[in-house]
Amino acid sequence: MPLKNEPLTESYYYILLCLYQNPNHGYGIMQDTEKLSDNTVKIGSGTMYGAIVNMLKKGWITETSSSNLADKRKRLYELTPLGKKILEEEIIRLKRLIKGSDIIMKGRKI
Amino acid sequence: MRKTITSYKIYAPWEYEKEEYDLDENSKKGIQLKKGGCFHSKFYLDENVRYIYQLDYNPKIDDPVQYRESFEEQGWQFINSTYNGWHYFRKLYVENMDESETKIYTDEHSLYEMQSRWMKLLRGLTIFFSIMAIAYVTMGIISSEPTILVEGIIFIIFCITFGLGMISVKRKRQGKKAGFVPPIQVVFPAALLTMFVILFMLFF
Repeated sequence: MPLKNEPLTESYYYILLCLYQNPNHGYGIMQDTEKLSDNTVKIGSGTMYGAIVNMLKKGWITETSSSNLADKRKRLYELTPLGKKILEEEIIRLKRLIKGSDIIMKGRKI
Repeated sequence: MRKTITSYKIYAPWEYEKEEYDLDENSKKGIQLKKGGCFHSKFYLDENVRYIYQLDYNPKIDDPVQYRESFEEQGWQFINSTYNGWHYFRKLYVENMDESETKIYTDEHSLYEMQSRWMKLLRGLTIFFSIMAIAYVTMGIISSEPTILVEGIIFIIFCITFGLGMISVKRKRQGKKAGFVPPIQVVFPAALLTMFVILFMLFF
């Protein structure tokens, strides 16, 4: 049996999330992450580069080119079906965590 | 042509944060890094700007353009890379900068990944040096040749320095104080000097 996937780091999670709707470039991912996290998560350049390289190697994302001429120079990244699956599975895991916490915090019986 | 100042101050890999701090402090005084290096760095004078510096270690970069771009898009200017995989970056200093904007690694996971890259190399070097140490000390004792024994001792000192250096990183990760590490700024020149003296004695 393959080992269960490790939980994603916050940075990895937000990067995948910011690519879910459409392809994006590094700077866009960083800005969207700030917005989505109410300015609590900031992905620095070193962290971003390392994560992107790792995810490209794992086949979670691929590089794609933009049809928009002004954006042509920028490197765009796109989620692969595997990347989508990883993110969706992580969301299910997180929802389960929250569900469990709700039961406990609201004083309900397990 | 701006005047260039050369500094021969060396830093051990586990002191990279100290190097960043020193670069920041120098920049405050108007001494700006022109080219960073392992054995010497070059500076120029400019009191009109102030930068903050960050060092990255990554000896395997498949696409240097992609690498630099991911820093430039967040306002980091690439200065130079050393032959062994360290990269120097600077950013214009702005007052009340958010701390996250002054760091290139913003989570523990990626920071540890970077540290592990050079620690792996250091571990290999420590193992190699311990084998050399055992060989030289044994040879030194058998042949009762003091110079070989001295060389063996130099290898031992390097092993201790590297080992304690790596331990200091692990201690800092646990939130403890770094602990004592023999200063590389003393160990390295002293070892070089001793080797030079031994060579000199052998030939003359």
